[in-house]
Amino acid sequence: MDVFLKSFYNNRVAHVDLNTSRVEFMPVPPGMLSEAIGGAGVTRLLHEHFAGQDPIVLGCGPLTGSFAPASCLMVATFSPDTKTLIHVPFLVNSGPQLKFSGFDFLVITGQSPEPVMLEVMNDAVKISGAGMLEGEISRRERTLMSRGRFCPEAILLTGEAARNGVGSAVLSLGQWGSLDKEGLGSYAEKKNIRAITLLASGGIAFPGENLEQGSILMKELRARYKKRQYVVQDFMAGGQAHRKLIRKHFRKSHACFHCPLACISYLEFTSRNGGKKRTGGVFLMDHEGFAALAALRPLDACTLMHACIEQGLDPLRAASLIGAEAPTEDALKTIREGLPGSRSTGTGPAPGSDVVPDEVFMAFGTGIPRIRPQAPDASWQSRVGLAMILGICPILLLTYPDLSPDHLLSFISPDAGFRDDLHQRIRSALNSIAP
Amino acid sequence: MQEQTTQARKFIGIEELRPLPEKPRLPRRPPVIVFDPARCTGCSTCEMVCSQRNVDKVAPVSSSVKVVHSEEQGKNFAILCLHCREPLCMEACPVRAIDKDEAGIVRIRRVFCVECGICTLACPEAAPLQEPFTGRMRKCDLCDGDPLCAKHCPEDALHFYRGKALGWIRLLRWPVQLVSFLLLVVVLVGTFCSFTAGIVSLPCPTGTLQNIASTQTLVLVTLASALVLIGITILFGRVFCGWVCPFGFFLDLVGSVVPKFGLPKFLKSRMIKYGILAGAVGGAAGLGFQPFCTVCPIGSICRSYGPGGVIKGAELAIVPVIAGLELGVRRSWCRSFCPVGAVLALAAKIGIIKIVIGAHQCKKFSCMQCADTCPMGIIDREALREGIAPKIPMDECIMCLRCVDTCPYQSAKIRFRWQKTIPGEVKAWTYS
Repeated sequence: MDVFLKSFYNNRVAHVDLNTSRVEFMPVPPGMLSEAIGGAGVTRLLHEHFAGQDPIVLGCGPLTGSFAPASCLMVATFSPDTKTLIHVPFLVNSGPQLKFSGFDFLVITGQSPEPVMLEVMNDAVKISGAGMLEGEISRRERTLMSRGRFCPEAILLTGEAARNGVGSAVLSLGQWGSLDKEGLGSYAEKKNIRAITLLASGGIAFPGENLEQGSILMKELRARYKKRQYVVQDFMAGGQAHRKLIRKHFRKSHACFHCPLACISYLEFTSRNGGKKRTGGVFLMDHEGFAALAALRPLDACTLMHACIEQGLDPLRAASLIGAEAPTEDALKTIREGLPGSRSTGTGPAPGSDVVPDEVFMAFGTGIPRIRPQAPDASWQSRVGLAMILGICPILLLTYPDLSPDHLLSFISPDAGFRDDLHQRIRSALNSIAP
Repeated sequence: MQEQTTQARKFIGIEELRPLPEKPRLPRRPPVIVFDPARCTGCSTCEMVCSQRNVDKVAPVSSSVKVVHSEEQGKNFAILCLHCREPLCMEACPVRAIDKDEAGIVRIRRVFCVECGICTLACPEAAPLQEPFTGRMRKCDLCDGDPLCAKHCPEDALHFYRGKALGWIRLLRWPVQLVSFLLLVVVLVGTFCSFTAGIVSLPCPTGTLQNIASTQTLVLVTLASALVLIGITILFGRVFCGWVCPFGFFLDLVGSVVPKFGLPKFLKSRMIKYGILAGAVGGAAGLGFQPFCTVCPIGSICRSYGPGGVIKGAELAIVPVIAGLELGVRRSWCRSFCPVGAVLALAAKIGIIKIVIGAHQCKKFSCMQCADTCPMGIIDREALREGIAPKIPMDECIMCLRCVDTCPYQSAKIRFRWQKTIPGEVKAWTYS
């Protein structure tokens, strides 16, 4: 099993020790893949392996970057208070970029004396100074993108909110925003990490016969939902304010790597700031955060969402603190200057949800929309856990009822017996990653 | 000895070793992958399948197509080779490693390529992609006629298409022009200036204006008759100039055989015709007769046949002079000087139809056949070169429809003025 699964990986782990500024490479410890398959399962084991060194573990699953639909996931596992373990999903193209850069898992331990950024590319990890990274996230992203020949394809950035010591600061994917709601940005800032850049330089030889199978499945899934900009919102609990705003401002659907759902909406809006009209756009990957802002302040939700992304701040947290009555300028000022009351863990969802228990919701970073799984026999936890282990977008599994685990595991092996065995292992891994 | 060295030096140049091939003949149906940015969600499936074909593994860096996300505009673009009609990369390659085969596919010959990347710099689309760490050049070869990216794109944003020009409009236009010429010159002798058949009267609008100015009287019937041509122009554009005008037909014939040497800059202004129109009307008011009509090449041609036609029409001498302008550019008379065209241009300016070029299937700088074929020279080559859909000034368009006829990708279309979207474009917020 271990050997077989290694064909879906580079079988390389990079350990970055920020205390000594040293990087060492190692193979994935034996038995780890067969025990936990990948993704959040393996990052948990690696977190245990490096326990005591305050690790952040980034990792991908066996299907990350493969022909399976929505194979875009990267998981970041960390423990904000040494008791709870949080698995934050990163989407768009972060997973494939990490995997194709030559590493399956990246373990970051220690604390750097100076602000640094980690450049992961071409089978190497470079630790470099982050002095030139200043200002809002978009400006810092542009700086990184314009650095010459090897411009990164995926960038994980902390924002001004993290620098201001805000507890719910996020580690965001630049303008795409983040599904981190448990303060990974603050945690990274404590380690003096300002950015992690990923650039693919190689590839993985996934089974070629899966190409056709993946293509057919993609087109079937693509045809299911006509108005994809509303799919996530329609299944989410809560009011319809966010749906109305999307209808008003929607311009384009965007998808993560090899995803048929394309649930990231690009909203275009006009805002007034100091009497000046300003047209802007915002990517809506954080559906929960936007829904909270839209319910609270339907008139300027887009503006505030944009400001939260620019500052690297969790919009859910912002919504809970800025209030419904404050003028837009005041709300923006609050977001820019940092919210009062820092905290080490995130805000968490409102209690009483029947979809998923709070502790499970928090274990997965709370950024994944709390939507009722469309499959009648599946729970939110099992679907999200499966996705986080295999390296598939959890939103896809929550929104497509007939996308069974067997569908996904068939991208690993066509052998039914082998798949049963795999399923058993995933189930036990799932029990270990979520409370 | 020195002479021998010079000769040796002469023979080691790339031009001698591998001279540029002669301009290849465009295949009848040039193949191309059409990209629709409104549909693209940026999922990178194209990169995935392309790299699978190129290096037998999923490795986006080894792909020949690249998806670029414009995060500030919320748009996605696919960079891929358009297999230009006259590829700039081919000319720029210092080792002549790029060539275009008979099927119209531009390829990099790996055995010659030195991976200098000059082709990327030369290409307006930057389509030859260089792998960041190995330096290896990759370029779309259309998977030898069955491109995987188009086949597997879940959004159908990439569409493989073999271009095909309509081709039948010119087969219709030439006979119409010939029949019009014969009708106006031979059958209805002495017409156009003021053609009357029974109760139908179709006077020349410029002549009518001069007539009104010279006689200082406004005959409503004459004015209404002159407005018929104006009305047709408002409805259908300057179809008279492109399809009916006998002198235009004559210029088309001459223009198709004589070489072109260009015009001096002061003769290129399209405003000259308005000056001539104003001068003709003003002159008529002052002189009491219609001065331009005595030298009008359209009238001269119309009056050249019939009893005493050629002999009487001494003014026919103007015709070869103006036809000589065809040595400059095509339809130079119509572009810059014709006052009849000027009146019709004013009507076409408020017309209800327009020609649009630049639908998603338009390959812009890689093709530019519309700009080459336009006799009025109104399709902005620079805009096409920059990848922008050119705006067609309808007052200058003679509605010959050569652009519509020639475009291999059917991206030149006739639309109503109020239709704001370019054809083929799918509004992002309505697509399914």
